[in-house]
Amino acid sequence: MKHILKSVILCSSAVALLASCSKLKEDVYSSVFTTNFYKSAQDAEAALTAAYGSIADLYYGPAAVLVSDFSADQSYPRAVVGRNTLTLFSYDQDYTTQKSFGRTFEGPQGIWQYCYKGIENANWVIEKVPEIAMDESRKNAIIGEALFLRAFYHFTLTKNFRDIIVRTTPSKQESDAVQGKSSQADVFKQIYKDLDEAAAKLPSYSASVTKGRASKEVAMALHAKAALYGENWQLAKEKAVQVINSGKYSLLQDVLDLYNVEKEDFARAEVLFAFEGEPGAVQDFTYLMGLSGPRNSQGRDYGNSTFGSLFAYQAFFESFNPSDKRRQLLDTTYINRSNQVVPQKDITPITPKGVLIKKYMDKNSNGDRNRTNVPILRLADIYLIAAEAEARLNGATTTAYQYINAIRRRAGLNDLATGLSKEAFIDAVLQERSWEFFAEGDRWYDLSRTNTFMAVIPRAVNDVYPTRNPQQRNRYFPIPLDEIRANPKVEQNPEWK
Amino acid sequence: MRYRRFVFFLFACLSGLSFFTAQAQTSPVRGKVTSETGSPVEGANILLKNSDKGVATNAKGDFTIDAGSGDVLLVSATGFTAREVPVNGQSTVDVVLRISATDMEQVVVVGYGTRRRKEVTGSVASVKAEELKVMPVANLAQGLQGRVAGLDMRQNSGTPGGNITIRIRGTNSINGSSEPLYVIDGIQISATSGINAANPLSQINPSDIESVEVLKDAAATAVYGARAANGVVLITTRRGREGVTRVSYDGYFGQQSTTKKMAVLNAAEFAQLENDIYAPSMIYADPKSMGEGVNYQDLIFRTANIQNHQLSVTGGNDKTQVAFGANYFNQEGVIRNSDFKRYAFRTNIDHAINNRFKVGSSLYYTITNENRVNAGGTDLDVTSARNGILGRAVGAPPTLQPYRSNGAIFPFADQYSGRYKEVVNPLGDLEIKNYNSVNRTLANVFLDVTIFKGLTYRASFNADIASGLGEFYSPRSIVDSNSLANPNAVNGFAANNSTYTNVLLHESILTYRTTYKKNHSINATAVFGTQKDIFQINNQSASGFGNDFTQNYATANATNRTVSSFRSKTRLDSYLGRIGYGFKDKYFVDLTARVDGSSKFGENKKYGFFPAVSGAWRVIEEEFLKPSTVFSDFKLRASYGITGNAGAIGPYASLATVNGQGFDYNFNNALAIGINPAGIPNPDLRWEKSTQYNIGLDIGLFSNRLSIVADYYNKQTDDLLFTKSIPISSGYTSITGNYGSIENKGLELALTGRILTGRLKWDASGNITFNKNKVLALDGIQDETPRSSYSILKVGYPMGVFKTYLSNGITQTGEPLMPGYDARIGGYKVKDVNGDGKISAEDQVIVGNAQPNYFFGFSTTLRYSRFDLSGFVQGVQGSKIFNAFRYTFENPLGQQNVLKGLANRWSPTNANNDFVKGFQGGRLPLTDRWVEDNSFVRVRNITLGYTVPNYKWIRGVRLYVSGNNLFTFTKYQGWDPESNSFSSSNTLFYDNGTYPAAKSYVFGLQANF
Repeated sequence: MKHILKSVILCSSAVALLASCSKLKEDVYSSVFTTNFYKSAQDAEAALTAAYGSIADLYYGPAAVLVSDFSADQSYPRAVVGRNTLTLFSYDQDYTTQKSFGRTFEGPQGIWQYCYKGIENANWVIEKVPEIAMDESRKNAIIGEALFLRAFYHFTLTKNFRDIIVRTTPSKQESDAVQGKSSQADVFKQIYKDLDEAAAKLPSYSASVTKGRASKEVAMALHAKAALYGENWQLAKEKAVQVINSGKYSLLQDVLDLYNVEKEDFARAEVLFAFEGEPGAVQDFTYLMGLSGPRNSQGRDYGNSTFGSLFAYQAFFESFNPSDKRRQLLDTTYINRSNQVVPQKDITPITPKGVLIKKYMDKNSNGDRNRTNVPILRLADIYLIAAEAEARLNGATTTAYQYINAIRRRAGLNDLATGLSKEAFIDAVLQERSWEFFAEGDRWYDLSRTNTFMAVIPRAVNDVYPTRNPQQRNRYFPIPLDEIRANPKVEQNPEWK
Repeated sequence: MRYRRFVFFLFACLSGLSFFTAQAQTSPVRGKVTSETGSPVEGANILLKNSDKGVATNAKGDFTIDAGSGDVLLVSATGFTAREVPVNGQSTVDVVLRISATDMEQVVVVGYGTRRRKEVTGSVASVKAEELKVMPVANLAQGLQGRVAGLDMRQNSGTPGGNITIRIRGTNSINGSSEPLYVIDGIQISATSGINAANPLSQINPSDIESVEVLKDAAATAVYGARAANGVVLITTRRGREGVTRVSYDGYFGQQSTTKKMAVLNAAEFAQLENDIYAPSMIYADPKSMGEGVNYQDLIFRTANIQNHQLSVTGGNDKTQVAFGANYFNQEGVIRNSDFKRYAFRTNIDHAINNRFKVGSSLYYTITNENRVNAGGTDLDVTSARNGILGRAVGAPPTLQPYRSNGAIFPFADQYSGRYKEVVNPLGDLEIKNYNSVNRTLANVFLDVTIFKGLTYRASFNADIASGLGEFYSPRSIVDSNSLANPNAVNGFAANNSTYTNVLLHESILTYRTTYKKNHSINATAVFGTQKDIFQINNQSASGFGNDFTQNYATANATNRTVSSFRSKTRLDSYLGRIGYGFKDKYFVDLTARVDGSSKFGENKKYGFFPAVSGAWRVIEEEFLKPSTVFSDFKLRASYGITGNAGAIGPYASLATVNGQGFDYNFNNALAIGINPAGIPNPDLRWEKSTQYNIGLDIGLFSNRLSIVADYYNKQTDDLLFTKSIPISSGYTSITGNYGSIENKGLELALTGRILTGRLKWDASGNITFNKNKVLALDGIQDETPRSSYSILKVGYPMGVFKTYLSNGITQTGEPLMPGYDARIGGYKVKDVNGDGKISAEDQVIVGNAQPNYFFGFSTTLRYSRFDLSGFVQGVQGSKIFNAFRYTFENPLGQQNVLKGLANRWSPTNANNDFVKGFQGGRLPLTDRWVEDNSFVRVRNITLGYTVPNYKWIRGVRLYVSGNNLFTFTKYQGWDPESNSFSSSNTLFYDNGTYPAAKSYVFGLQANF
């Protein structure tokens, strides 16, 4: 009996041994691993593209624009799908409403998530690409672009959330995922450092720089803007002036050309860096066309799939001097598909005072997929940074006037009244920024960095939003609770505790 | 003679036996058949050996048969051991029959072998071919539905060839598959293996099946180790037998129609609604004049045919036995342009080379062609109900025209100056081609070697080879004229997806059986197995066609083309040992241990160990029960074991892969593909582990006329594959690992009764299962995590918990508007549960869960003379689902039609709390209003059959008519209470309007030659 069992066991284990020589290692086939990727020039390019990919995410929803512009005093959303929580400052740490409507992609949590994904992807490039054997100048540029992107994402994060986690190494194992916060001052230090290195590695702008990629001047422009937010006026001025004096860019004569989808390449003379939208199969286009065009896609010129979800306040429309060309980027009527003029009262059912925004029109869109670009850094911004930084350093000097007047003249306005006090001049610059950059995701950050939102917002109301009462804690958005729950090293910013 | 023939004919009618004619040299033999206790046995069959002649006993047990003096009578009756009694020239032959133990001697397939029913220590339910054949079914899953205790089976979609979810003893996984492992003639098929087609069972022809064994507890399933945690379904197909060649035909033909249409607004009502929503604009100058308009549901549904034809031949001699089968099945869908066809061929051969060596093979080849419609979006967005064909038909504005005057599809965007461009003409949707065809071969060859008496070795080689082709084409002919003219629009979209699955499995099986000193029986099995799965998919898609002529067949003609491909390979090495010991047929113990090593597991956890122990005590063999006239069987079973679910893990899941999905960017106005890491690797990734104990009781009463099987089980599944949230700042939101735990415990009860056994035979059987499912742990960080905007996973609660706001009527004129959601006068009001004066996440409460309290099946058959009548009822009680379809179509947001109730919607002059006022683009708050009880009791089948008297070589001809899904009792307001758009999910219970179930009437014929 015993020997039978023995032989059974022996027999079967012999068979087993025979057949199980191979280990249970996995064959790669379609799946590439981090250990065998990042080996060629093509790998480096693809890894860098992935680092840019978060810009597409930020500008699809587009959280990068809406988080600012739903909160600020220029434009407002139609109150559906949880879009009014920013306008009413009713969001919570968990962004519950946006989550429950599936709208994370257009809210602060979207910014948090996309920026950190972009940083992670940039960190892999910065760590891995130096080892790749490839053309040295392109290799340097790739690393430079990744450093620029890392700085751009950190900057986007800190202007929304203030104290954030600075990440400069990729997440290779679970323990790498947990890292603590830095003060905003330290965040800016890292941003300046990355941008210095990026500028050193990146080629200067020329026609041969691929459309959509960062150049040396782009890194400097971001440096200027970051320094303005970091209140390092000297640095802001220095970098802004470097960009302006580089001679690589010029203000377009006609401000309307900036937003003409057919003149996208022409506008590159002024636009240093933009989100590049194309109507392709993937979602690398911006939703702004759909949001800002008339409801039911009824506008003849706005695009083939528009919803009427984003409008400018009537008061903002009226704040423009009628001769300001930039007011033509707003409208109180539109022409419908039967070529009839639709009066203001019929623009939207939510108010008789609907004002349409005309910065993102593409009448030949493929449904909601459109070609419009969204400017991220343009020369007008650098002029106004220079104006503000100069004024903050030296008061309303002639130099400061020069920079702001360049923008006013282009818009068809008279020069700014001379003899303004430093404070009045800075207010004028901020006002100019408001007219210049509405619907470009900039205004709220001007209000929050200058801490003026508590005074400005309660006055920016209309019949749709009759009362708007932000609290001091709304200056920065709460760090998403999903981060805090999973990250033992991070505490909520104190105002939101 | 005529009279005698008539008598014989009558007897034959009663017995259902065949006979030819009386022979001249015989004389009548009378007798009485009684049981051991002396009671007469009615309906016993008396056959003359080596002839076709036979009679049956009457109520007093009496019979008369013409027999020669040297003949031998074969006496048999259900529940008794058959006897052979020689006539020996007597004119009176009385026969005493002993209550049989045949049920106990019956062979049960247990995985890597067989056992006698009485030896079985685990929980194994058997379904025999006869039970499957009672009613016509499209696939095996339908045949099993409601037949086995512990099996919760629901047809989540009525699409032809569609899916049935099967949960054996509850849902054991959160993110992995909870479908059982299927083993078809030894070939192991996971429901998740590659091929697109819903369920492997839809590719198996039910008529080929000899028996199905459902292995439920750990003792029964542990032999399948890392793939056994969800239970195992063993399918054995018919094999040839030594003896007369049998040719049989089995076929049916019938018609199906939809069980439901939704009542929607007519054109006049819809036009008025549009005017209300867009006031002061007058969309329709005179709504009343629009009349009834078009009901698009009438245009998409049809009366659909279903047919099935099966031809089988079995036969053989003492050395070689064969079975052949051929099957054709064609089911049209009740929605136009949908159907499912299956062609199946089967050959099973067994051949004995000599006393020592035996070879055999099973070859199974099927071709399935599926033509699908877009039935129900599976997008989590609560409005995706609009994207399915049902949503399109219900939401289509009844004021619009389906066809142009020339008969072409009339895109809605081309009507009313583009006002309805966001809605799709459902008839256009039906023009979209979506075919899927699968060719699948299951092949098995084996060699049996008898090493010495009792010890056999089997080498078995299996292959499961499948290739599939998915074809898709969305034509230009359904595109509106504006898009056709737009230079940037891409019109005409084609896709071809080829899939290729290749599973090779070798198993070496040693079996030893012996009896030692009569009282000790030993049964040992050792197995080594190695399996390799290769899956490959090649996709090509193309868009921008100049015309529709070439459809998806000439993608080179398109302006844009994309290709992608994917290949994966997994390997599983297994080692198994099992020893069964029996003492005096009274005590049984089984020990099983399996080691599974899978390439999918993380580097640190390549091998899993799965042991089980079980025992049975046949109390009926004890002296104190033996004399009992009440008990004919009494057995206690107990088992404990650990099994795994490797199906939760995909290949390469534990590794640091990079991928090119979603992180692309446009440079130079063209898309560049970005590649980035897919996640943080987890070298500890492993199988989900289920620990289960089971206590069971098998009882037979009154000569087994009533049998009872009861089981209590408690199964805890740990190391559940779950995503643990990690800081988003890492660049990733989660890491996949083994974190969660869930528990399923329950009670199963199955009763089978032969209630009447006389002229009128009445059999009935029923089963009921109570299962309690509970989440014990999630990722260890959160005790609650959202699954969708209306459901959560929460520790201490079952899976599929709905958490929503509470509906509180409608905000009436003058009432204050509650902040925190889109409150408006005439809109749904949400209850401020915590009373803080605003609506926030804290006001969401748990409003029910999707797990049923119990489910049951009941079937009954009446036989009288040549007629049989059977009925089958199935039910599920206490479950809930989110009716997203109703949520979507109770929302009067403009440009889409809504349910009829909205005709009586809220207005300042028609205050009510039921249906809201129209509001352009409005969203409804997610409340319990749409969390519905989807309990049901369904009369699944009623069949009336008639067995035709034998004529010459035509024997066993049975004709039947059958009605399926005739009545359903439910409060559910959706299309079908079994619907679930997320059938493959364990945690999402959401009805987007899946393909509705059909009711059908079928006429069938079974014949043997």
